[in-house]
Amino acid sequence: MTWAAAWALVGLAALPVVWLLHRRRHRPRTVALPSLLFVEPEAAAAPARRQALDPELWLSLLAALLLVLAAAGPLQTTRAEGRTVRVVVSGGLPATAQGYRGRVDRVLARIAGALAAQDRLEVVEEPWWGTGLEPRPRPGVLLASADAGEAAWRVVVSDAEAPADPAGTTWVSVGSPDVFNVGVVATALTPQSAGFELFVNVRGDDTRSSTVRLVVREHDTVLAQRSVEIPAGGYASHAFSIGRIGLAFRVELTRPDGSAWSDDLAADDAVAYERVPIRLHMDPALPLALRRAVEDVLVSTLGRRGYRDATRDLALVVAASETTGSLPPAPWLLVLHPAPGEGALRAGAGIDRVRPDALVRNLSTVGADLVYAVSAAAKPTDGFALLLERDADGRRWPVVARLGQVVHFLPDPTRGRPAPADTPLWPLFVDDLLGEVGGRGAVGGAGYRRLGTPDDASSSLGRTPTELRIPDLRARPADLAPETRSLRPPLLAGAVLALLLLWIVPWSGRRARRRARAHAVPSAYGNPVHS
Amino acid sequence: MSEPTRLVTASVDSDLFPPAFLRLLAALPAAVQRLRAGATEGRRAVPGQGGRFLFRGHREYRPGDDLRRVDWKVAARLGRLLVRQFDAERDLLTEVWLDGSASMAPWGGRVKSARAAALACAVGVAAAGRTRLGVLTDGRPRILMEASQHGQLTEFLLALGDARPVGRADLAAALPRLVKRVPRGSRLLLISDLLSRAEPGCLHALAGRGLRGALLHLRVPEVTAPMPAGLVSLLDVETGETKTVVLDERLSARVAARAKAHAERWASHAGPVGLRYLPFAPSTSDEALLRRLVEDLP
Repeated sequence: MTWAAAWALVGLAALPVVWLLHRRRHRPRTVALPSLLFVEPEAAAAPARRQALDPELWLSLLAALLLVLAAAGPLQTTRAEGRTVRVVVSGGLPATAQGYRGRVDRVLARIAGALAAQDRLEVVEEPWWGTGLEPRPRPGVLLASADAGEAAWRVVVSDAEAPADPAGTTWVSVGSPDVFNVGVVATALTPQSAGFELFVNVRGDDTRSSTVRLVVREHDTVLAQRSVEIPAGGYASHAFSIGRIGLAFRVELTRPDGSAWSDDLAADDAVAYERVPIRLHMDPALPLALRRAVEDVLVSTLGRRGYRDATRDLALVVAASETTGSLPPAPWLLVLHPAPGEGALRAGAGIDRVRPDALVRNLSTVGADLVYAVSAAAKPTDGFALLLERDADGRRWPVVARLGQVVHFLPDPTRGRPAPADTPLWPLFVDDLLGEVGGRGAVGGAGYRRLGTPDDASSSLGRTPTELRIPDLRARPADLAPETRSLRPPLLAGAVLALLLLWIVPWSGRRARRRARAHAVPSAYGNPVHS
Repeated sequence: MSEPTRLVTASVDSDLFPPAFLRLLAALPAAVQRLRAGATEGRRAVPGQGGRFLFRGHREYRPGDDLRRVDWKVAARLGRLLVRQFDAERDLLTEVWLDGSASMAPWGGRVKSARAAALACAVGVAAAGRTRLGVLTDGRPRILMEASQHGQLTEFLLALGDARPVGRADLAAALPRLVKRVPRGSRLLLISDLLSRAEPGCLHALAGRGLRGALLHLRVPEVTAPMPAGLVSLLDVETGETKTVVLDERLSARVAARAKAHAERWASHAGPVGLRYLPFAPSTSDEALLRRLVEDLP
């Protein structure tokens, strides 16, 4: 705290003067009386205590103190001059690997240790809504996120290797050469005449080959299983023909001896399906081309027969983004953007540069508990579905699911809340509405699509760490200007309030003195009053 | 030259007895006669040569007797000289005793008590009787002045001016001694603030002596009914004792209640010994005080 006029603090010396004046003013007047015959002996006990608790004294001291402090003009420095270090931590599916968070935390600790007290460390996880089940963000997204805002030093922490041109951003790779992972990268559920065909694609993200067993089970019942050999850094796939299945099943990896498969990334070791009905309201004004996009997102996230990872009914309202201002209230909302780069999506040149958070802000006024937003015009692999859900505090927590990826829904937001009666919703199954357009992961057609290619590192774990070099932050320009705030107004207000209280409140002592002065009888012969 | 003028020139204390008061004293005999109109000249006959109306009897003529008092008719009838005797039409002795303690001084007490004493003396003299003025100090009665003529009032005033309130009254010791000084049947005017820890029962020392008179109680409001004054340090002028108190409304009420009870106790004991209880304050006007003295005194 600094002072605008520190010399005014000399006025603090007036506090003892106020105290002395008060004491002089309130010291007992000596009154000579013919006799104290009628004054009770015990009446003489109270004055000292009464004087110590005199509110007038304390109010006077408070008013004087506040006035002096206000004259000195204290300035509160809320923020010192410093630098901002923005660190973007790559999230997504690879971030759930064992040891990744610990390696990131060590990097963050080193950066934090290099900061001065007035510096500020901003840590952003990208994707910041991450559930840990999305692929690793692309380097461009991470660099763009690091480039946002004012920062003296920008750092990206990822397990992936640094791109060729980090554009002034420090890229720290925290990959480990010891990681080991084999996982399901794609599944497709295709109806057959006598059941379903389940396609499973497995990738071996390791430097050596592995033998895994694919097991399809419904609860504890094994429907089908098959051992496959996965080459180092290669793929293996198998299509199971299974009969009629119930409401839920899962396909998982196990070791050849039947024991649980355990590697550094457990999230991709199994894929679960559930079949649940949803209620869907399709906007009549929705263009046909966008209906196709609706199909894409629904099928990619729910499966054409309504298999998904949630167990509750859903209620969707599908509309174009241009009409979000007049959308009816609905628990869930599906919003379609007909073209990239328009409106709130104009964040980048292409749809793959769209910032989902910008879209979230655009949709923040929509009265829905859950929002899907998809892009219809971009390539299916670049489109995304944005899932928003209102939490108990009324905020929205988005989940981004790229088309074709495994989507785990958040708990049903309609639980315990009946759907609005005036909302035109119909209970429909997805496949009843959309027909057979493809299985999970199949976008825009039949069959399946194998997610993950040899050049796509989003589903593989990084193996090459890099050394963190911390620059001299003091040599960089400060982006954090000091902020000072004058405390003079509140101090003056307090002083005025104290003075008003002194003046308004009829303190008993002052009232007694006034009355005594009003009834004072001058002595005619010898003044018996000594003040 | 009128009496008041002579009193002023006699250098009486002008603070105690201003010219207005002296004029009141000068007019007092006429006022007494006016106020007591219709009453007998004297309320009590005392033995002596007397006047012509209160015949008491005859006695044998002794050489030197006034021949005009020889009852010649009886002498013609009985053949011996007898002298007629009459009772004198004279008032009783008035005893004015003033509390001389220091407590009588503050808050105008000395002025008013001195004027009350002067008025009492003047009334006693105006009633054609002997008047004796004394003070009670430190438990002892001390006679200041005795006179029977109105012209001697100046000496009363001078004596009162010289009598400075000092010390303590000690009524418990003073009253029994006072009884020995006061003749039986005399009129006693006792002027005091009664600010003493003596029990009012000490007044009973005056009983059985045929005394009549009044107890003039000087009540100073600052003592008997103080106003709330906040934090004050009270100084007892008699004892020098100091009490620092918060004189608020509650304490003022308690002090007033105690003072009232104290006055009532003294009043209840004054009546049985023949003393009328006459309270007065420094603010009581001299005229009102005189009226009460003349009208209420037996």
